Amino acid sequence: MADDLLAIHDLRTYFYTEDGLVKAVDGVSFKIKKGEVLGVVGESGCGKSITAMSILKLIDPPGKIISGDVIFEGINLIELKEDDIRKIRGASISVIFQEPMTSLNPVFTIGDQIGEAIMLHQDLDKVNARKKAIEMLKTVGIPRADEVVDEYPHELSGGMRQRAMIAMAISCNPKLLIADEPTTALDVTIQAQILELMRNLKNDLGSSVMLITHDLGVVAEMADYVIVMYAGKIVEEAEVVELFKNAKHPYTIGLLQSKPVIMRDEDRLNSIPGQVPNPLHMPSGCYFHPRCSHAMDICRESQPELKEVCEGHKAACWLYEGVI
Amino acid sequence: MPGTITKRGEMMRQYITRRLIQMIPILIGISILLFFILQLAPGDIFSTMMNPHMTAEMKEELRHQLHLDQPAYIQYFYWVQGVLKGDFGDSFYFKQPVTRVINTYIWNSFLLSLVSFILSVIISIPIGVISATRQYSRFDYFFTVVALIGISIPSFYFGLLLIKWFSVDLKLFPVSGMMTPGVNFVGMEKAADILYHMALPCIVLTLSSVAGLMRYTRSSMLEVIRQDYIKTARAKGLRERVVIYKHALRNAMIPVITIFGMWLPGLFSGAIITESIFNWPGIGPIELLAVNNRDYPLLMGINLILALLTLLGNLIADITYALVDPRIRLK
Repeated sequence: MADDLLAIHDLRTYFYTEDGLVKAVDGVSFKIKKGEVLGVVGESGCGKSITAMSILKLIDPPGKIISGDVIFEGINLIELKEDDIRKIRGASISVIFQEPMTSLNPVFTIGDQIGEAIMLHQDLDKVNARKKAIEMLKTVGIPRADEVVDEYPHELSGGMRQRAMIAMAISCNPKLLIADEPTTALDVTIQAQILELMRNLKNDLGSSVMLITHDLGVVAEMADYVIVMYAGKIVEEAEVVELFKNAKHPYTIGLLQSKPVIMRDEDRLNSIPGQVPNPLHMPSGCYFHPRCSHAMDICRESQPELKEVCEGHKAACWLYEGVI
Repeated sequence: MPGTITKRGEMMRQYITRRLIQMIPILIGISILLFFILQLAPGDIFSTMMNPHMTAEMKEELRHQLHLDQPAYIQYFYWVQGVLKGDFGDSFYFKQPVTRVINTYIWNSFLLSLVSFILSVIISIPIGVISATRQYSRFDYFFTVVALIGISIPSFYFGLLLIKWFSVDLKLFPVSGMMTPGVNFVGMEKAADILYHMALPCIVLTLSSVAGLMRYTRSSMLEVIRQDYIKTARAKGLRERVVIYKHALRNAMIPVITIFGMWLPGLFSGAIITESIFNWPGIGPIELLAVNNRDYPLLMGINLILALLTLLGNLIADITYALVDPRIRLK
């Protein structure tokens, strides 16, 4: 479709560890439209970040992209050579990482680190790259930007560092911004500020955003469309309002119930029983069945496919087999 | 900001001045400890240097002249008195001023150690980096074995092996010494002659320090390339070469650079075994001679210089640490 910026088809990224094969991303397909915010939700270790890193082919050994297509503006990124995909990284697609404390290089100034990407992709000299870096710092709302540009990461607070990370990510006007848990390491008030900033920037730049998070509150606030991942697979996807109103997959329902709601008078927070399965010994059938209260015989035997359960809403669950 | 730079420079100057002043009491303490520890060893210069024509009375006379018949603390004050006037006394063994003896030999040691140090750094850092980026590759395994050999092989054995192969069998390099005897080279020819003599002892010294330094670089680098900011650098679209040699190496070198400062005394202390095997006229064998002959003034002189260099080396290490790591502030 013309308005798709990114289309991923049957992506598989496996890790060949010493203990055995880990299928971190196991046949994932989705699309991101222009200007859309896609929320990717799931517990730690469900393959969200690996999916995102696979888009830019930033998978370190023993990980390997086994198969799949990542079509970005008509080009299959998976087939690109290292030299060609480097021109996409940081330019058309850029990343904001989770840990602002450790994601900036401690021995270079903020200005050097932002300017580096600018010089690389926009062909500016050092002086102009520095000017642009100061401008970017102002854009992300950093006070005294002309001083901060010469400061080192350790001299800034967590929120300021994350703003600097965002400045670096948007400095080359990316068409797709991958935000990997951008607010997880920040405290709540700063989280709200950073989300607000990202929303404004996205509207100004017209970029699409792939927002990876385990925080459903963040998804509700930011995303247009939501993908729920479990053990390397997509288990449910729908538009954000539909998903929150009408969750189908027992895992999504469990996630929604384990979110604290202030007005509801409850003694305890709900939680999904059991743990994320060991990736080396995945259960048979549906990966979620050992934790699922609706598990049936068929769930133990074979894996459900991701199918439309109602208009614009897909789920991979035997409960809805034959609904449409 | 020019303002902050001058402020930083000013702070640095104050810091260095304070550290230099602190060295004075430390050196006094070291000299006292050294003097008394050396005196604990039994015997003196006259119990080892037996001159058959010397009578017991003559020995007593000489002992009296050198104050060796006095208690240790009195001898220490005699020594301090001289030092304060810039006189480190005469070596008992060489019968020359200590400063002249040290000056004659220490620069030969320095030359050998410095060349070997520079070679070690040039060789080991790239190997360490490549071993880390290609962990568990053939390259990595090969140099792991080389490092193991370099650390395990005793220098006297390796030195003799090199003499056997390259000097005796192949006749490529001279067996020993620092210059061809009986020839008076000048200028470039002299330098070439020294280099020619230096080759084998230099290989011995370099192998052992390369072994350690390369493993040190490797482990430091391995830790750094797993950091999040390396992923950030890759995600920016930087070339792998820039990621490794700019973003990673700069961080990995922080712990390595600081040990360079610690190397300062080592550049002057001489390699006793290697210098002895190759008959290199360095300070190493002189130290051994001074110990065996209870040559207190010479021992005090050498050890005090090494103590001073150790303190300076620590200071240099602290300063370089602050220069390469912006997170470190000198207080």
